[in-house]
Amino acid sequence: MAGLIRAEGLTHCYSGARSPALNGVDVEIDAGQWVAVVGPNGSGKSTFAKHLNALLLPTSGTVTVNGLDTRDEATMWEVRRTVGMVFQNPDNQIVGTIVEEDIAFGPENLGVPSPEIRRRVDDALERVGMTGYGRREPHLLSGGQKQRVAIAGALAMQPRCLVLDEATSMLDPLGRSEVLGLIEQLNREMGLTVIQITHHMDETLLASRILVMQEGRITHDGPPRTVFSQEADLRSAGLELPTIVQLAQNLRERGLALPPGLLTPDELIAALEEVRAGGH
Amino acid sequence: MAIELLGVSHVYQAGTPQQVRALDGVSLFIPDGQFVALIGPTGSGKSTLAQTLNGLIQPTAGRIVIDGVEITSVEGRRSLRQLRHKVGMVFQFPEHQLFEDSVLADVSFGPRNLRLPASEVRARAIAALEAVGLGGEEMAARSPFALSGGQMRRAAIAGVLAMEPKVLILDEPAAGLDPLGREEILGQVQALHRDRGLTVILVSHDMQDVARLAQRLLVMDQGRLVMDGPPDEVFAHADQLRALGLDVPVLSSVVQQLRARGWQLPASVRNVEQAADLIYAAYRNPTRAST
Amino acid sequence: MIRSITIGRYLSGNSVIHRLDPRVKILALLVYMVILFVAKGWLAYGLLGLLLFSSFWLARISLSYMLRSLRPVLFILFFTVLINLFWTRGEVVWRLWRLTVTREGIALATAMGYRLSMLVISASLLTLTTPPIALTDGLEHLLTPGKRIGIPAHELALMLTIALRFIPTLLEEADRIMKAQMARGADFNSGGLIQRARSLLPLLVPLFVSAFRRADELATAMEARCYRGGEGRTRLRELRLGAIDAFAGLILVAVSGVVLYLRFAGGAA
Repeated sequence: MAGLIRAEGLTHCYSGARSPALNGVDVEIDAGQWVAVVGPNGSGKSTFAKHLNALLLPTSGTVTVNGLDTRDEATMWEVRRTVGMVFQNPDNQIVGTIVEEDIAFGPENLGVPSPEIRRRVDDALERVGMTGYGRREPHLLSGGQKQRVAIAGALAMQPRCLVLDEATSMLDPLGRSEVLGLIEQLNREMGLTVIQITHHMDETLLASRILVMQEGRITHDGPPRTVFSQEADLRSAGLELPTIVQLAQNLRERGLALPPGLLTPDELIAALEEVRAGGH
Repeated sequence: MAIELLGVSHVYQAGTPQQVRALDGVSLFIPDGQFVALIGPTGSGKSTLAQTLNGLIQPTAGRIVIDGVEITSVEGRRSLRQLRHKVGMVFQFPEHQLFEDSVLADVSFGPRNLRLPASEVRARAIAALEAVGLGGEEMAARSPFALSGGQMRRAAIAGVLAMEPKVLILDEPAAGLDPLGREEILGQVQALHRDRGLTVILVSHDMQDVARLAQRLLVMDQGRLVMDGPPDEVFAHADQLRALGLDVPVLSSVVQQLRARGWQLPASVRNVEQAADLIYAAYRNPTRAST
Repeated sequence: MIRSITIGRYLSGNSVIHRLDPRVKILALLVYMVILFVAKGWLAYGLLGLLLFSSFWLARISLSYMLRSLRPVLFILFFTVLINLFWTRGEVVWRLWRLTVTREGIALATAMGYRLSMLVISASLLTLTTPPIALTDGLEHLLTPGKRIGIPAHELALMLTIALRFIPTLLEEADRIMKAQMARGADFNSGGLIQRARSLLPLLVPLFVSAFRRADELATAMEARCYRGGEGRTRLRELRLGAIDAFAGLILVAVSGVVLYLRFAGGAA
C-alpha cells in the first residue's frame, strides 16, 4: 500500500516565534490506518495536522498527499478534498443555516452538479446516522450531533483521510462515544484513513498506531502496546498514560508478573486471573 | 454555611407549549465544608439546580435556605447581591467572561460589585490571583487576552474567588484542558476545599475526577435526585448508573469485575494507587474477608 | 431557555406562495412597496389590500399572524397617524384644545396608516413563507448582475447566511456571559441610561472577542472545505422559475397597471 500521506523533513516556524513548532518531522501514513497523535501542549500536534491539508505550508521539507505536494497551488484544492478535517469547536465549523445546507457546503465549493450534491448530502447523513436531520437548525443540536454533522460535511467531499483535530475535547461523554463509534465504523467499513489528534489517552486505544510528539518532533511511533510500554519516557514528557496501563504498571512495580502491553480492562482482568490461577 | 433545599421545583416557560420541568421536588441538605459532586446526564437538571443556589434562577416552587437565610422568600430575593457574595459560581469555559484591560482589573470586578473599599478590593484580587498561581505584579498588569488558555481559566476562577465565597460551585472546571491542565485545576480546587474549608459543589461528567475528589455524589435524572451517597456506594450501583446514561470510572469497573470473580475488593476505588494497593493485597491474601 | 428561538420567522408549508421562486417574491415585494405609495384612491388601496390578503389566504397563514407582524411597528404607526391627523392644513372639522383635525388630515392619516401597515404586512409575508437560505439565495441571484459594477453579490449573501446561522448561537452565548457576570455581582438592570450602558461592557467585550475568535475558526474550517470565493460554486438547491412564478408575475403586473391607471389616467384627485 502506497503511503497516502508523507512528510519529509517537515519544519515549520511561525513568524516571530523563537523556536520552530515542527522540527524535522518524517513520517509516512498508509491508507486505511488509524493513527493517533499525542503530545503535551506546544508539541506541535495541531500544527502538524494543519499541514496535512495544506492549511499551513512547510517552512522547509515537504508534505505529500496522494503524491501531490501541498505547496503546489494548482493541486492544493485536491489535497483539501482528499484530506478532510474536523475541528475542536463544534459550532465554529458549521456554516449552513440548516444541516443539509452545511453538508452541501463542501461539494458546492467543488462545483459538483446540483443533483449529485443532493445524493452526497443524503449519503453523508446516512453514514453519520443522522438521516432525517437535514432541515434541523444547527443550534438545536447537541455537541455530538454537531460534530457528526461536521464529519458528514467532510465525507460529502469524498475524502480518503479524515483528520480529527481534538474533535472530542469539548464534548460530554455521550457525545464523545458517539463520535468515536462513528469514526471506528468509518475506518472499518470505508477504509477511511483516520488521523486523530488528541490528549485523551483512553481514546487512543482504538488506533492501530500512535505517534508521540514532543517539541516539534516525533519521539515514539508504533502500535499502542509498544508505545505505552515506555512509561518512564512518556511520563517524563508530561503525558498521562491510559488508566489501565497505569494500573498495570503500578501492579508490576509491586511484583505482580503481568505481561507487558495490557491496554483494556478485559485484558487486565484476564491477566490478573491468570496470575492468580498460576499460584504464588 | 449550610445549604438546604426543600421541595424545590422549577418549570421553564410554564403554561406555554414549550414548558419544561427542569427540577422536580428536590430536597437535600449540604453541611458546611462538604465536597459534593453533582452528576447526571445532559438535561437532568444539574445546571438548573446549581443556578438556583446563587439566585440566578428563582425556583417556581419550594424553598432554599442558605446560611440561615431563606433566599426564596421576598426578603431573600432582595438581598441577592449578598447571596452571590457567599455562593460563588464558576461556569463552564469561564475564560469567556474575561473583559477588562488587565488581569487585576478583571479579578477586581467581583469585589468592586460588592461595593467594598478600593484597598479591600485590591487586597482580595491579589490574594485570589496568588491562590490560583497567577501571582506577581507582571501578571496582574497583563491583558487577560494575552494569557494562555489555562492561565485565562485560572484568572477567571480567581475572579470568583476574589469575592471570598463560602460555597464554590464549579461547572466542569477541567473541560477542554489537556491532562496537565486538568491536574492543575483540579489540584487547586482540592486545595481550596482543604485550605479554606469551602463547601464545593462540582458539576461534572468525568467519573474519574468525581471519584477522586468528592466526598458525596448527588445523581440527578429528569429533575429528580435519584442517588445520594459517598462515591463508593454510588458506584457500586453500576447497572443503575448505566441505565441513566452514566458510567462508572474505569477503575471501579475493573474492581467490580474482579470482585465478581471472587477477589476480595470493595465496590469502588478512588484512584490508581488505591486500586493497585487493594488488588495487590487481595492477590496476596485471597482468603481474607474484605471489610 | 433560549432554545425556542428559530432563525427568522419562517413557517414551513407547501402552499403556492411557499413554492414561488424567492427571486420573484423579493422583486414582487419591492414592486408592491413602490406601487403602494404611488396608489391613490380607495379603489386602488382596496385592490392592493385584496392582493395581499388573498396572498395570505393562499399561503394558509392565519389573520392573527398577519396582524402580529404589526406589533413591532405599532409605535411608529401610531405616531405617523397622529402627526398626519393633527398637523395637516386644510378644512378644519374638529378642535381639541389647541389641536385641530382637518378633513385632509383624516384622509392623509388613514392613507399613511394603511400604507405603512400594508408595507410591514407584505414584508412579513415574505419572511413567513421563505426560509432564510432561500432568501439569501434569491438575493444573491438578483445582485449577481451587479458584479459588473463591483457589487460583491456572493460575499454579501454568504455574510447574511452566516449572520443568520450564528444569531441564535450568539444569543445563547450572551445569555451565558450575562449569567457569569451576574454571578460576580454585575447588575444590568439598575441605574440611569449612562450607568446601564457602562454596565454592558462586561457583556459586550467578551461577546465581541468571542465573535472574532469564531470568525477566525470558521474561516479556517471553510478553507478546509475548499472554499475559495464564489467562482465556480454550484448550489444544492437550484432556483428554477416555473409556471406559478410567471402567473404571479402577470397578476402583479396587472394590479400595478390598474393602480397606475387609476392614479394617472382615471383623474382621481
